[in-house]
Amino acid sequence: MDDIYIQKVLKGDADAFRFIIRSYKDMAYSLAMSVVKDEFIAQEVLQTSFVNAFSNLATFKGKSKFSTWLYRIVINEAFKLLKKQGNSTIIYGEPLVNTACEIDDFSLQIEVDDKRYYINEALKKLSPKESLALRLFYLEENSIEEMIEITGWTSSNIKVILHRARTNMKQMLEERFSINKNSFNL
Amino acid sequence: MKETETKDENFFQEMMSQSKLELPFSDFEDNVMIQIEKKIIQQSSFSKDLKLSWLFFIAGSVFGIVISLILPQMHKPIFGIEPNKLAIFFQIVFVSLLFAQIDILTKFVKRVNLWK
Repeated sequence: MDDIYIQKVLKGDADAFRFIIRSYKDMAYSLAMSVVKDEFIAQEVLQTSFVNAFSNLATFKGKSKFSTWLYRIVINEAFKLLKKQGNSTIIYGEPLVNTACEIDDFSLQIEVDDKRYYINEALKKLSPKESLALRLFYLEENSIEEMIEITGWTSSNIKVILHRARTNMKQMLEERFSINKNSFNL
Repeated sequence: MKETETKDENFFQEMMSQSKLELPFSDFEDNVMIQIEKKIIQQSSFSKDLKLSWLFFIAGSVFGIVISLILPQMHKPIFGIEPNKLAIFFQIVFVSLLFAQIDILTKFVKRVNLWK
């Protein structure tokens, strides 16, 4: 499906690019958020990335998945912006703020939206590389090879980051909220 | 051991399936398309400018070469200056301008290619 729209864009139908934006914006946003942790900066990253993707679409040869190619642009742009900002505004590893509900209530029953909220809050507290690795591996279900292509990291580096990310994420959810796996009904 | 690993994997798979975020900006798509349209307009105007630049560069170069060849062949002084001296002065100015223009054009071509 992507190929049809890519060909349309390359033939001069710029409006066909809307399909590509619509298809990938949420996942691209999730990845950008993993790195920059701020929705407005993530939006900026995405805008630049999609415009760059449009401009360089002719260089996409179809050797890899289109999503792999696009996410690489997004991630590069996100890290570029993060570097520009000097990581100054973002503090990783801070404890999660337990807002509305008590821990016990939380352990007993977590609604889907709440679960989603706390999972994403926990991901925000992880370092950019760790949350990015988790989202690419588990959410986007990329293989290690695809992750190498997207991030430019080495295979062993990815495995180490993933291991650290899993440990930190589990620790964060289990200790901060007294959550065990069963409370997630998994 | 393996069972624990599999459990962990399932736990993360299930949990991370809920980590997809939705872009909270409803005008995002339109904003990107506006930027893309601007870029297309800019690209086409750059291409036009580049074509014009090449045209004037070639016309100027041809004109300069013709003048450089004609000047030494003249016998009468022009504005009281010997044609030979005038030709040397003209050639120096012409060559300097030619190199300066080549430099400007190269930079312009690079810029247009970057936009493409």
